[in-house]
Amino acid sequence: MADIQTYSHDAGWKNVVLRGLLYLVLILFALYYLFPLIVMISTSLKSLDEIREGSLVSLPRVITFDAWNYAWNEACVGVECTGIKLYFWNSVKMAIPAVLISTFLGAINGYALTKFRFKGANIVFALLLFGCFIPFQVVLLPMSQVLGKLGLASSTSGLVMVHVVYGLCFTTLFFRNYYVSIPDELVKAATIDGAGFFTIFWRIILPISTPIIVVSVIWQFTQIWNDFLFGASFASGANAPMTVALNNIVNTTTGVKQYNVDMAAALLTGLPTLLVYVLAGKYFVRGLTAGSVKG
Amino acid sequence: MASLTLDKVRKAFGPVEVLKEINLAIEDGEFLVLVGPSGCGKSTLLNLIAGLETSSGGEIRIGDRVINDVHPKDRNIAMVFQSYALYPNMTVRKNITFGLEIRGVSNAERDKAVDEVAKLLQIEPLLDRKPAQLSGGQRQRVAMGRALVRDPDIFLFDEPLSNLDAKLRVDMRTEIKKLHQRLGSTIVYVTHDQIEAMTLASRIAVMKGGILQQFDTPQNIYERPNNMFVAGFIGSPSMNFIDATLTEQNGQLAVSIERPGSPITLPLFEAPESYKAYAGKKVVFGIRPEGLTHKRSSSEQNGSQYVNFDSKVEVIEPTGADTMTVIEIGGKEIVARVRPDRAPTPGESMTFSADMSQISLFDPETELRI
Amino acid sequence: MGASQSTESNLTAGIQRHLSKIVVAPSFAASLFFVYGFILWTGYMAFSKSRMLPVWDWAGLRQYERLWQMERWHVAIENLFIFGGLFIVACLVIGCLLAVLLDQRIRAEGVLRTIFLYPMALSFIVTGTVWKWLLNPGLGLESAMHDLGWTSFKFDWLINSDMAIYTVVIAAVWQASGFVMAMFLAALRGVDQDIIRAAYMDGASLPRIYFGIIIPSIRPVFLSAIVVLAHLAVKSFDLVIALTGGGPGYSSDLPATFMYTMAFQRNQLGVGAASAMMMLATVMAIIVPYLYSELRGGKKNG
Repeated sequence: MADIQTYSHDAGWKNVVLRGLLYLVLILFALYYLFPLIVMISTSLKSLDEIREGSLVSLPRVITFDAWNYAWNEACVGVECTGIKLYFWNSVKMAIPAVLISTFLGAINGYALTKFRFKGANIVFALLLFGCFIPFQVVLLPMSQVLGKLGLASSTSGLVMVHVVYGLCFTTLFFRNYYVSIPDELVKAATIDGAGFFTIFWRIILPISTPIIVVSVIWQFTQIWNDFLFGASFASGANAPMTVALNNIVNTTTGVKQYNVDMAAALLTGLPTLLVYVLAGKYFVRGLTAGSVKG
Repeated sequence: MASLTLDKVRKAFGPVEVLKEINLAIEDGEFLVLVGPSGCGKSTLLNLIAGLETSSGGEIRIGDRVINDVHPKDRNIAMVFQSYALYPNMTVRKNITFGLEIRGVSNAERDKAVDEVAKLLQIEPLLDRKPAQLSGGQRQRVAMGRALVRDPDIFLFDEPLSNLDAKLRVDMRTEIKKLHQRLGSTIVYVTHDQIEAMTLASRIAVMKGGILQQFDTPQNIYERPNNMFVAGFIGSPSMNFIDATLTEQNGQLAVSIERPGSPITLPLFEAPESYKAYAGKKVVFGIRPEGLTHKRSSSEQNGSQYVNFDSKVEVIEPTGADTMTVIEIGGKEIVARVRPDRAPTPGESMTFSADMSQISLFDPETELRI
Repeated sequence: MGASQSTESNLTAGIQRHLSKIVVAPSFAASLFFVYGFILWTGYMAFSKSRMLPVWDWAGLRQYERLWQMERWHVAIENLFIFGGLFIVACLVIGCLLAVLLDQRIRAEGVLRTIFLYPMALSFIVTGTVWKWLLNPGLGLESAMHDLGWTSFKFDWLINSDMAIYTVVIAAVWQASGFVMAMFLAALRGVDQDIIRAAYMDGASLPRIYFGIIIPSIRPVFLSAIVVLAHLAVKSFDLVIALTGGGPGYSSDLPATFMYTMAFQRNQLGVGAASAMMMLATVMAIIVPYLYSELRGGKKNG
């Protein structure tokens, strides 16, 4: 940290002006980042008439939750007019198993690759890691065929499988890097105490993995909840996840354009990840750095 | 309790041999210290005994049982690690009883065992704490408790004191020694600290480059080191090595050291037979600092064989009890241990006495003791 | 006595040793099949005659030829360069600036950091939806400016084929620049304080300290940020779909949307596969040298 206060040669009023300027710039940037969110919230609380008459930036004169209600219960996705709630639950049913399975697999992979190293463990890890970087377009066509053959086309379980498979590389990376910094002596001590592979994992390694579990869960949840490409490619109709439904609502060309409903639906879609970020964001950063402390 | 035998034990990682045919045997109740510089293979050897690594050849026996292929948990050993390796998620009590729990020992017995050990190590107030809430010394005790509670055949210690500060290290050293005397258990202890090795061991194994250099009692290793490495490694300040020639005059062997002006000639009064073969040849003359002191009066000579010579003093380093006096002989800096009240000032010339009964001679080629 | 016991523990030891492999095997197999297998599959499809349905007849480079003859693909590539270039530069400049500003012992640093970073938690679809509304020529920013009295203000990029791709840049920078800020801030905090103190004692001014010492010393973070952003740019799909739908026409298409359209809407599986392989090649060209230097550097340090 090198800051003006400590390292400024100028004393007095010049310093005060500089700091004032500094805060001004930061606040302007904060407004830039907040502006779309504020507009989104205010628009979603307006009636359609008020939107047409008023201005984008004006706050709602009369606050109404009609748009929220409509988005949740009645909005039309394609020809179905059941609201976005159906798709919200689709996303929940997809995200929770996919997050849990990929996190668990990442944990046990990371453990095996660091604490019970076998010949070629590094190569296996490097090959797994490669999956993090491919553009998913390159797997779309074969995946849609395989899902069809497995009878998982257009189903939530199909999406769970896809997200587990392509999330594995990230979760394995997180856990491996975390476990590398845990001293091997812990495993040696437990081995001499008589514990085997799984006992050590369940009783000793997993209980001290909370920081990295948090990282993995947040990362995977955000990725999976926010995914659009896989959802749009592999799950159409009533099984689509929320992002696909939102895009459908917004881009429907029939009928009157209901901007307030669009904004309410967008907020509903963004809310879960936003909540996770606000509530647990600091644990994410802390967990990511926890591994490298001893490294 | 049991004896431990290593018979031609080898370990190689691919083409790299880290241990070459190690032969060691200790009796029940002995305290063996494996000592050597880092990378000498001492920790690998300990891991082989523990079963954390598999040997590439040879036999390891505890008592009469060959344990090469026995899983660590079935070897009936316990180990204390350098980083203590306490399970961070468990309380001290859980840490100590974990091994018993895995082995299916009943709750009541576990409680009894943990109470005994806690009492022995005076860690009763700590039993419900987590390792993160303990100081270094306390963690050390818990780590020992975890080993003690199992009542194993052999205790293995892997540099257990090197993470402690200097004062605590000395205290814990004493404590380990007391514990050994009380329990009479068989211990294998790895360290790179030669003082720890000298103070704790009933026998020391000095290692270097995967080869066992010497395996003997501390006193023998100190007084009769097998080679120049052992001689230099054990003892602080380390032994002085001076290039010299073994001369013979009228059947009297003497160590002759070249220097500008007059050479120093140090007669050997009780030379062993083995010296004779080196008469007239180059040797390395080894003498410990305490064998080289200020001039002794004849009344102080009781039994020792002092020979006097003069030398200019370069530097003095007082340590309190003694003053280390650095002189230069044959182009090398030599340390002599002088009583503080006899300490010279630098630049001054003074007379030193060499105790010829406590010297070692080495072959300059093989570096082995003559 | 040792014989039976040793075979038994050999067995358990053997299983113990293999457990590690057994546990990793399913993930490894999945990766071999779903990543490497699928890449080969797509790679082969790009050499086949596939159109509506995948067929295995060899067509050589036909699909690549068709791909590169398509005007739409050229637009997508050009857009990728415009979008990628502006997106990376803007994110780096804003991210670095914000990180330096936040590094000045700011009172409400935690709150500001949260505000700068929260867009990263949103789905690109949500981002696209809100910016589509903000940039809506009729009711968005344009009319807001008119209301404020700036009647000549015109902002119709969203429906202007020449400008539509820039709206994607605006929304993407809004979403990702906070993340770059976080990367830089972490790096700034990791700079050795003694170096800064030494420079200060030598009489260097604050800007000199930043430009001469701190920023050069966090150069590796610039590289990491560029790689992450470039990777993000090549994969960008959702944002374009939600914001412009690739339009007007196909004027704001990117390779990612191009591939999707060809494969799932135009029944051009072969061309879709060929474009996907081009994307893979682009990402590899960025990632592989980076990973190589990172891993090698890591070995040197470790």
